[in-house]
Amino acid sequence: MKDFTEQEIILGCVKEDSRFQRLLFEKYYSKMFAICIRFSQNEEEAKNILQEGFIKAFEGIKKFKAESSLNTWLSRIMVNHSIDCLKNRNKNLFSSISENMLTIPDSTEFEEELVKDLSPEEALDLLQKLPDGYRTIVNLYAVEGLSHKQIGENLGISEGTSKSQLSKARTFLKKLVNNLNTYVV
Amino acid sequence: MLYNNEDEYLKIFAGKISKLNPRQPSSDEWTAFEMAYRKHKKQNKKWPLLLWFGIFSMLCVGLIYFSNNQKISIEKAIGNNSLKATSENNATINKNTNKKLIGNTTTKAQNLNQNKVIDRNVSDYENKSKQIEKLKNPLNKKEIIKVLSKVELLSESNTNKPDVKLNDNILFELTSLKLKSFQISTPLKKIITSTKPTNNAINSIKTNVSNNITKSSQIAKYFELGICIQNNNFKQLDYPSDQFFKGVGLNVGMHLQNNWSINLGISALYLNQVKIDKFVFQTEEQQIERIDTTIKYNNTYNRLMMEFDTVLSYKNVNHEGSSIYKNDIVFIHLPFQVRYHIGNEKRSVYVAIGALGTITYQSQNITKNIGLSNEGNQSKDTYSFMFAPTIGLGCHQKIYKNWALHLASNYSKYLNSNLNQTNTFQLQTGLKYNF
Repeated sequence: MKDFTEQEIILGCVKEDSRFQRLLFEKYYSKMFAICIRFSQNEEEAKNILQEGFIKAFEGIKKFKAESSLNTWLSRIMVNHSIDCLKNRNKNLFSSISENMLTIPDSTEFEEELVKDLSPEEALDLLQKLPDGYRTIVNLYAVEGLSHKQIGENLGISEGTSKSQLSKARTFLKKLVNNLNTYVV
Repeated sequence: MLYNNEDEYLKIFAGKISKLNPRQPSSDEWTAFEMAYRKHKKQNKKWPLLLWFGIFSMLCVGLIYFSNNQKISIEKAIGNNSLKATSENNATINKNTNKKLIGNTTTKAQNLNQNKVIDRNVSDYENKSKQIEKLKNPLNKKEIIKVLSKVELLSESNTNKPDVKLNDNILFELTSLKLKSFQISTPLKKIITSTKPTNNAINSIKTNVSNNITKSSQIAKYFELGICIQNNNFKQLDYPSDQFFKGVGLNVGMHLQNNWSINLGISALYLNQVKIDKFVFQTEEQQIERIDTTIKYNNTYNRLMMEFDTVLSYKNVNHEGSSIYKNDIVFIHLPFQVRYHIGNEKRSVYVAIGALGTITYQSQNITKNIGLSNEGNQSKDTYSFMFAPTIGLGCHQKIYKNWALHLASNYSKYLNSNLNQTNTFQLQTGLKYNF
């Protein structure tokens, strides 16, 4: 099943040939799951988003014009669908989360080593502990590399809101990192 | 060390996230996904059909409602002094008409007592008429003509036989058309006891009946039965770009006032086609070159291992192959049109606007051959729904009695299509029958 080029796989998927669909699914599963898990609170939710994202991809692959790579196109679908899911679940994505910050003990210093010492799994765990809105902003800004303007357009918020939310998310994250290390020590 | 650059802090964090070991799909992942995908597709196919069914039903209901309204308005327009041709209730002469007929057909010597009796009887009849209001049915053109003939016969005989009871006969004729089984307690014959027909009364009835025929013809219903050929311009890779479908169709419609008509239809068209796609794999030298290129590309994006595995698999492939596509496609067209006619009863030209719903059934069989070996067959059946606005041009030419020849052409541009079909041009020919 690995005898086909990306172009052939795309054409196969356009024809709704399940062999090519499976090929595409298995080839991009890992990368797309990594995106979905970043936006989700847990693995189960990520699986659902991933599944729905692939359904969207197979339905829309006829419109894929190869202006970007298939990987980029699929990633875009997964990110957008993750955001949609979050919005559906939480209509007020960027409100009512300031209270959560109170439960995290304050810290005065943030050592570089604290972050550097984190394992990828620990980093993911911390990311998933962030409220939906903060997690989305951190993902879009730090991982996906979008500007505040682009984030605003994607989420339907102003550029200023994006900046302020990122600032709050950063503070929240620092507290989580520091808190983690406090307990470890 | 404290972080002064806040973005740097996030970048380090994001870097950690990016290093996550990708989760590999388990063997059941695809199975689970495929089931969910099929379920989704099945659900997605249902709603357009339901939507179209809903629209179609609403149009039918609208058609019937509009038709009834037309009759009622015509009935009102005819007025109180005419025969009402639209219901059993009104199938007999109404109160005022009775008065007029009685006035015209009785001698001047008729006294007041007689008039009172008549009025009471008419009143009784009216009460009874209300009871049968639910049984309203229009008299059709033939029935009205039948009545008119009867009136004419009576008119001729009237001069020689002044004792002929015209109104009895008329009433009997009119009521017998629709009220054969209905029991009327007050005998209708009593309504007119000693009336004698006069030319004025007959002319009045003839005029009214003629009016009814004219009005009725404006809401005449018709059907068109014919064959059609359709050109489809597919953009999808599985299909040659231009294909001709052949099929049959049936339209039913109704002429409204002011040259307008509305039209609903159904037609079925069929196409069978075979397409062979030949493909050639790259030579070994080209594969090596490709591997090098891909490695460079992958180095740029730090995805060396995964892509490298994929590319290496090119080594053991055959160099020639073919895919044979066999397609059977059935279109069920459900058109709705509003037409504007120019011309007369014998021949007319019309322009039409409307909408075309298309239910598509596609059965596809793909056979893949590599070299001389058959790599397997794949079959699939799919249903879909497409929707398109339509414009059309057509003409009618009367050929015999109620029959006319019908020619038409329609152009539709699809708004949604899983076949990547953008437009359709259809030619129809057949016969039209006017009721």
